[in-house]
Amino acid sequence: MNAQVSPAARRDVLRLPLLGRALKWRWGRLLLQVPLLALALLLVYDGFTGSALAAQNLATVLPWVHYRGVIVLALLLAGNLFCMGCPFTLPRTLAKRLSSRGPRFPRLLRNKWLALANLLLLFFVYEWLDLWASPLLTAWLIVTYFVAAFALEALFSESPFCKYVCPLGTFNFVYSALSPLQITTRSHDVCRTCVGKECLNGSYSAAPLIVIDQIGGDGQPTATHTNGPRGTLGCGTQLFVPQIKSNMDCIFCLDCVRACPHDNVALAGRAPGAELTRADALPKRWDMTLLLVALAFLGVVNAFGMVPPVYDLLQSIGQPLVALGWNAAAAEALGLLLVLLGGGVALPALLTLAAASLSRALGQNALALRETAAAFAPAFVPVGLGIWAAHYSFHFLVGFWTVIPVFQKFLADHGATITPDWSWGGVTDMALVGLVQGAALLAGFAASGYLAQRTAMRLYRRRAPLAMLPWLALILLLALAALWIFSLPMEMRGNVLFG
Amino acid sequence: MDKLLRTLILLFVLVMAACRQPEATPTPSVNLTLDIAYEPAPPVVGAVTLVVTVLDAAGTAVDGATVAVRGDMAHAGMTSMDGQTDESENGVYRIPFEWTMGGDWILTVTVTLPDGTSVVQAFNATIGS
Ligand code: SF4
Ligand code: SF4
Ligand SMILES: [Cu+2]
Repeated sequence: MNAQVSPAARRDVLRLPLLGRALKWRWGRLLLQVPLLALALLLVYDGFTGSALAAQNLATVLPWVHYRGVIVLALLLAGNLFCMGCPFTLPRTLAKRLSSRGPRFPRLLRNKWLALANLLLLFFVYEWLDLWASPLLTAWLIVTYFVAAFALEALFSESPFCKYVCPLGTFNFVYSALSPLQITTRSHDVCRTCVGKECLNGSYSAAPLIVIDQIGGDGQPTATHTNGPRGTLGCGTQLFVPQIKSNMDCIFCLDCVRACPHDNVALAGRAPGAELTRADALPKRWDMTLLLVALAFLGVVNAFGMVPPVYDLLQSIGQPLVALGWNAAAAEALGLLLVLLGGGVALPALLTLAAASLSRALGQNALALRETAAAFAPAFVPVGLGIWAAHYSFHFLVGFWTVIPVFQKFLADHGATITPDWSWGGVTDMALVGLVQGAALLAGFAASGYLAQRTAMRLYRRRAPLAMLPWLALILLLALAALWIFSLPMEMRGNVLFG
Repeated sequence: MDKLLRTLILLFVLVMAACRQPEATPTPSVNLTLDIAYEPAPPVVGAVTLVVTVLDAAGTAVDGATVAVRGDMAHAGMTSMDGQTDESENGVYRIPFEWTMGGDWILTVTVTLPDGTSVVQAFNATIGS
């Protein structure tokens, strides 16, 4: 069979000499998952038993300083590597083997609303309980993740946790749009004649049976393969390789690669952000649109949570309530909810609707409001990642080496004769940190502006310069808000109403 | 399956609940009262003086001890700051220190008496930028 190999598939990571073999290997994913599982267990253990000070505990330093920095780098340099090595899915795989086929995930929930709600919940809990300052609560968060992933996998037939529930995965799905790698077919022709569609269906079957999979030109089978208990699961997030146009919902598990009997799946290089320029890459649904826009706004809100003005704001909301006899924690919760829902949901929703209506009017185009908003939503991805990267790089750079004395302390607490050297810090040159933050913001802003302009050209042609203005204004607003926040001193304060 | 799942989850929660965070402050073998004040007050970013007052159970000033202070930011991933002195007057120890950044800090004060016994106590401080 000499099907034409598509040009994209010529840059296939899976064809690289050693790396390719390792990735395609049946247990290849474990190479990442097992170390990460061990690390997660170590964090939980230190969180429960180690120092109560965040700066001296692995459970707080690694997730809130290093994880968040590494994740952005991985997305920009390769792809959704965290989901690929996700330790939460290891016990989940166990659950899958244990459980008999359950029902499918409720249709009502098969969209991004729940994922968006969970993102908000995570940010709320993060601020309200000051997770960044509490090893114990961070450890509980990790435990919650394991339990939730396991339970959902055991209850339902597909893998709903990654696709519909997990906030970390949702973040990765959105921003892996900017990754240089994507799953694709080597040849569309092979898929066209493929009978089993194992990349989606899986080749796992309790009773081994022979499947004649491919009928050649002369009517004779040209490829056969065996389904057996040693077979592979198909795509857990229900993506069908020949139809994949984006990294959305792809956890880089490579199950499709292992399941495809024709070795027809590639992890191919592409232009970073390629899917953002395609009109048909993402479903044109309100949940998806709001997710892309809101996550950029949430980047601003999350950074806003660390600078002085937010404490004044929370106090002005909370103080009167406390005066009315509210308890301080409840008053702070309400204040945080207002800030999060207002800045992270209501504001992006209203501004998106406004911008979409305005550009429809200015562009004089019959495209529906929903489709107009959906067309421009991908333009918020680069500026969003720029904002997140600017925030995370601050913690990552400033605290880069702090993990060394924390690990030394962990060893010392467990019998090793070692004295933690607390002088390990990170980048102390704040001008350099500021430069990195500014560069991230600027790059995101420029890419977003370019995307908005391109989309406008596609939709409105001659009227594009006018019709793209509302979107450019929105993107500029986001970037300026972020710039303002990062120019303020980071205070990272906890319970502002108790202080 | 349901039963197995529930048992596993229950077991996990029980095991985790059994682990406890150790107290940040070990029970002192001697009874001292520590107090801390800041110069300037309220504390702001930059070089400052920490004023630690050490009294014994009877309320008399304790001199001749070594007072060490370690400052950690509440946020993970920030470098800690140290300060120390063994000079005092009427139980008042003045320690040069630097707040490198505004925000929530946790000061861990360790007072070591000449006989080697020590008392550790933590204080919270919010530093304005
Ligand atoms: S990727 Fe492989 S299993 Fe999936 S449709 Fe194509 S040939 Fe079939
Ligand atoms: S099986 Fe699905 S989620 Fe996994 S790599 Fe393939 S397309 Fe992505
Ligand atoms: Cu921060």
